[in-house]
Amino acid sequence: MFKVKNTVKHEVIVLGAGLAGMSAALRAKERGADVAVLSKVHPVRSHSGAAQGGINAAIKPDDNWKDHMFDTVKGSGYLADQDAVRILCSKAPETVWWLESLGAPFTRQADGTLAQRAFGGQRRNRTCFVADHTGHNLLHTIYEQVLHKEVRVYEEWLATAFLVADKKFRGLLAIDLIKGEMNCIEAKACILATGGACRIFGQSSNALINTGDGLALAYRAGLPIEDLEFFQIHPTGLPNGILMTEGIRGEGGYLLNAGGERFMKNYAPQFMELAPRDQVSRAIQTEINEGRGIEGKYVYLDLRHLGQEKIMSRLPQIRELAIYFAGVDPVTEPIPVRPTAHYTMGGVDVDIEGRTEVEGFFAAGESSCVSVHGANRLGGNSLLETVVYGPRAALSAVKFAKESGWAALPVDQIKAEEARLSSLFARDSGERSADIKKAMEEVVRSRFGLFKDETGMIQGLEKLRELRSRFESVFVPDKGTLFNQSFVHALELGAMLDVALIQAEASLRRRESRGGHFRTDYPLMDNRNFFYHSIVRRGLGGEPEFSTRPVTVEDIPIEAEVKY
Amino acid sequence: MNVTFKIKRTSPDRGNGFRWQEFSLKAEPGTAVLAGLYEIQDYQDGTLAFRYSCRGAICGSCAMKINGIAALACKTQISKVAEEGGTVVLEPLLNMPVIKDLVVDQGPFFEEMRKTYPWLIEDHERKPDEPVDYAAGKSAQELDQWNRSAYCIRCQACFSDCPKRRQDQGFVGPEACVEIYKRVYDPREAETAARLKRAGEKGGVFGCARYGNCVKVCPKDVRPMRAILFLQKRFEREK
Repeated sequence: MFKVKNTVKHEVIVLGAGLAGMSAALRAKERGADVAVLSKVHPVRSHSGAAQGGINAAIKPDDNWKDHMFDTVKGSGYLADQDAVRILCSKAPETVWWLESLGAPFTRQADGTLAQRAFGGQRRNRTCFVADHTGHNLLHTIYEQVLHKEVRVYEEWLATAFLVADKKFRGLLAIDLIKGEMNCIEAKACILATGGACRIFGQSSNALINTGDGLALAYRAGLPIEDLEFFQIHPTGLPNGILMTEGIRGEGGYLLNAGGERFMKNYAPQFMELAPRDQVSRAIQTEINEGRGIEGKYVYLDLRHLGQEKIMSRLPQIRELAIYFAGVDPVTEPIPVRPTAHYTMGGVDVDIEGRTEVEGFFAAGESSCVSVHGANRLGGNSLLETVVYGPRAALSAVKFAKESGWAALPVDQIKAEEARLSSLFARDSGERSADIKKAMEEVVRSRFGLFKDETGMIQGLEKLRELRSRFESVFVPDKGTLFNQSFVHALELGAMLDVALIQAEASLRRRESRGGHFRTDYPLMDNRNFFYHSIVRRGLGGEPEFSTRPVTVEDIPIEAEVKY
Repeated sequence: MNVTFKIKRTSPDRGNGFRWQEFSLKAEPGTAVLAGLYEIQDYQDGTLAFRYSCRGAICGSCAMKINGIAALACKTQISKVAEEGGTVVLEPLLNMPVIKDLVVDQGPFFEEMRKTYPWLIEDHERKPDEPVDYAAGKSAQELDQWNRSAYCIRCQACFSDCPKRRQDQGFVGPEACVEIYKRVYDPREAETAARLKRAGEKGGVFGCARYGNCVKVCPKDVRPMRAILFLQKRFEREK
């Protein structure tokens, strides 16, 4: 049964080893902190590596970070906090150069300067890239630095609970999956960087590990979760969910319906295929729903006119993915695509220094909400957020850790977690995780997907509550200790159900449409009544409590609706 | 289609040794081996262990021996490795100790990689926004190899299937040589000469016995042995 075996101490513990987590750890180490990273997978297996397209920075003489800021705020449905976006965009050029100096092999033009490509919703070619595997290269480059600077990494450790007492972070509990041991990490500060939670949709571009564990653990520890009604459903996923980057459309790819028509001309004639993602997704789904899809399920992403040479040199990985995961060669055939859940705009509520309302608890990247993406993220801004705000949160965490002493570990919470894990592990029969998971995915996709409405969501919420109670009798078939994945799956399912419920609560209360949240019963943006960030937190009785927070507006005026 | 997955299972917490276990599966056309493994784990035997993450051939988690050859389970379609009614044999990677079932201890692989100092050593004279010509000082083939090397996902397939590494653990293995190649051929690198000199030492690029398995099994077509041959030639040229 589960008992804490070892307790280790670090000034700062970073949870998650993607780009936000590792860049935070590097900065903390640079500032002389005793820092360690904990991740349920080896760092290079993190989902940051899947980002294909690129990273935005206004580095060309004809571009300007204020334009980048304007495009980001507009694309966000005006819900992004402008102070946070100002930092994101003004720090972007120096951040890209920092990555370059660490070794990132950014694609360059013939004259040796950085190449930049067009991405949706932006008026300049502003997206720096490494062919079509930008995230992969950045992730590995940062990992190389983690090795270089000898940052301690607890690989394949799954965090199961945060220890928070008197609104102060004390430590966390985690299972070393390889040994099957439960351990305690005592720390003055924690930086949460566990990424997104799109696995709740099933059909998703996210890695299978993106189950929202960090979000759920934070929620259970009383932290406020902001804007979780906003998920980005990416327009172009392969039938199995794997992403076909927007960069393909940036390079000139067409979207065609079954009649061979470039249907975006009916939805966004000015931007065509490069309209913001939410708009393209709904256009594709509308084409499919109205009978103009291929086999009633897909539309085509057509690259053939780009020619073999351009496809091979600029999009080689895309070609490979299409061949291996959809069975088509984009040089000779169009690729079948459909919308796929892609990005979690909401997350743990943090200020522009990465702080939360719990002392010593910081967050950055996709698991946080600062908010630079508002209701909808622009392509190329997610990698940017991780490497701007990860290190920024680290500076706050290090400062905090240096200024504060150690506090006692809450023994009662440790005992409670030992008991929770032990009882889950000991159950000999009951519900199968996979059954509940499939049912949850179906509810989230059908009730809380591209098109939401009051009646559907009320039924969906009811169903999710039912699944949450069925989860109480879930059982773990593997009774061994080593690398026990059925135990991991049960814990992940618990996290996903919490995340699904939080987004459902938030979605129901926002009776308007904005960015990634589209309601057929309230199809317009309503700034009079809903121009705020939504906050869901766990109340004392365990029930979700709802509140709001104002949006920070600086000099970009809020329009009544987003027009393209 | 109907297939059998024959899996080599090891569970050190339940006794020594390994055993073979067979599972029957129904697979739609296009189903990946990895998806077959989930099916087994979710509905037939929850004790099965294997690594996974992206299921899109970019994270490098799910390399394993599929019908005797190291490959990514996510990128391998069942129909490409088995006939109707046929068998897919799955084993853990070689050259690393087994932890459980298809999960190996990645330590030896990452340790060899780390020993090559796999990070850019900056030239402090250089400003980052200076133009860079990646092609400088390289033949077209060497540039092609440099671009390929950036696709390495550190999945360990080449390390597993290198017969030379099996015979001689003093050899760093194919992937570590790719790391050396990435640095030696990076025009921004400041320590090119020192790296090349180290590469020529015992256990380095001359440890390769040219089996060529690394080129065959690499899921990203990185061609490690080609990188090794370029490094060998350059070492001879510049020594």
